Amino acid sequence: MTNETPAIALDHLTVSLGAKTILHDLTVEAPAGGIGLLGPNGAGKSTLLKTLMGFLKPDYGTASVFGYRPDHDAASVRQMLGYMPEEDAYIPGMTGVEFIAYNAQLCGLPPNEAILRAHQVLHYCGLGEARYRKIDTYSTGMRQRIKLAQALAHDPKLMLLDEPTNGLDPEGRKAMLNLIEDITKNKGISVILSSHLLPDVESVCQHVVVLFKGQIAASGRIEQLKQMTQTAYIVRVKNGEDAFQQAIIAMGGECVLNEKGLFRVTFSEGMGTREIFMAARESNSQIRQLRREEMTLQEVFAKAIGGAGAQQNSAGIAAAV
Amino acid sequence: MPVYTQTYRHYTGEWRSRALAWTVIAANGIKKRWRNKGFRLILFLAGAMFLASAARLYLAANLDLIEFFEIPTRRISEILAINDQFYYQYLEAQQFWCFFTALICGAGAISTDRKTKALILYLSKPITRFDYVFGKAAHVAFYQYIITMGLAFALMLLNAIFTENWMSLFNLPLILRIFAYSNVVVLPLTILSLTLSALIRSREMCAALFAALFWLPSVIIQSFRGLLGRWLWGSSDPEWWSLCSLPNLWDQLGSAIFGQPLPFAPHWIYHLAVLALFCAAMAFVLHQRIEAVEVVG
Repeated sequence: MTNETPAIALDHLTVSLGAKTILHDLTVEAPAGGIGLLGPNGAGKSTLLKTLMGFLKPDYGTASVFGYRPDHDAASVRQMLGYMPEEDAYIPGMTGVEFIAYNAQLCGLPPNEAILRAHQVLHYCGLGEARYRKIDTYSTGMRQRIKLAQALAHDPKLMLLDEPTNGLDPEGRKAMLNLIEDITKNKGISVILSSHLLPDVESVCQHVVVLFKGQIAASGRIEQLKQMTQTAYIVRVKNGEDAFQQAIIAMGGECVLNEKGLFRVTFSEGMGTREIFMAARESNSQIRQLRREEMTLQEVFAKAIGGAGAQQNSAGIAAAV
Repeated sequence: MPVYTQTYRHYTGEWRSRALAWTVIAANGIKKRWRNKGFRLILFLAGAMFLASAARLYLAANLDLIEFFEIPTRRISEILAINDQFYYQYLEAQQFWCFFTALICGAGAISTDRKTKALILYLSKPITRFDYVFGKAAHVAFYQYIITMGLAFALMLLNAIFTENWMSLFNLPLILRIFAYSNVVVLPLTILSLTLSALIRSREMCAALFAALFWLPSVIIQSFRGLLGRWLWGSSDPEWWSLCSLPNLWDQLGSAIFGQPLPFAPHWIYHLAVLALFCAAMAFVLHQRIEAVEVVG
């Protein structure tokens, strides 16, 4: 295993539950670091996480975690993984320390080491004060933290976090995201963050995989994805606004004036700033401001989902014809 | 730098073998159960038969004490004779406490994990389904083995001490009989309680169903025999109904193991086959149930 070994690699992965195929021919690689797993309900995110943990066997293709195949050696893969489930999950009657130490022992830490580790991890997750309290009495925010702590107990290489900010108030959410960001950026632990909250993913992940109806709708570095889909410019011109707008339209672009008096110019692929300057020259206008429009991850996500949906629809129509 | 960022260290210590994962689950269950005062009371009551048997061993080894009270010792020595039947009687009496122990330990063993979604936490760790089920089974069976096999061997030891016959400790056929009969009682109870616990989320419901499955077949069979037996079988009852109830299976197999007259007409091999099939069916359901939780979550 080298430093370049991807955290996860899927190669034509197809997974079914019973007669229904949930994941269709997924091929993607994601490097170590923060990886966002996005997709609407039913996209196959949970199925992909379960396949990575070795609960589900692929019908076809392979999945690997740091080069190890979960379908061949699930125990070795799970040794490297820490899983934080979406729903409330705990063992009743245990204190925080007992719970974490127990989880660490299940992963193979000797009892004394497990206790030491439990104290460390609970302090790290902000539960140091509450570590001798029964988990049954914890608040929702504390339960989320203890789930994160149990996933960290054995010092995994990759953490699978399923909706880690569920049920948290804004302050708790921010603290949880800070913690996850610290884990992935400073502690050298990779994280797969499965969430429907795009700002969460955008704040802690560098890489994103968008699933839609069991297929990869988009994947890559978030910055790259934003740029790849970037076709809009914000332009402020002085003199000849109407002529500028007409010139852009004549070139095949779209030019819409917004409420701030700025033009939003969009072109088809292969056109860009050169055409904007040509339009300004033709209309004798002065360009006072020109910048690319910043796309949010939400727009990238919407575009990816829209594209995949359109592709599937057209495939469906073609099949029907 | 916030304080919390300074507290995390990568783990560089030693790792235990994965083969020992089930022992962690078993030890946790055993400790947790021991902390329960009500359960300790049950164990204490289960030990009452042991104390009575120990007293009998003492009297059998000290018949001169009885002579002192001018009681005819010949008849008494026949009653107090320490043989294989003595151990069988002890183990038979412990069936009732095994039922209670399995009910208390087994009912919540998996159902609580399912209710609190802890099962998915277990399964996400580097342990197998077998480790999980075996660890839970070991915890349920542990106290049952203590009150059956454990205390029976303790009685053998006491007998050796009282009679000063240390060779009696090496009575291999008796050791094997105690071992075999203890397993005939403990294994079905353990598997049945765990299977019900995996199927039903409510601990109370699971306990009620366990009790019903244990007692109801006998009650129903006896009622049918009373009402329809003469009409169905005339005067010669083939007693195949004895295959349908766990206590009847134990009676037949216990008598066969300890060389006692068989209480039911069919050969004991049928009873053994039914018990083995019952355990296999329960184990299959349990395996399927845990796998379903693993997949569906």
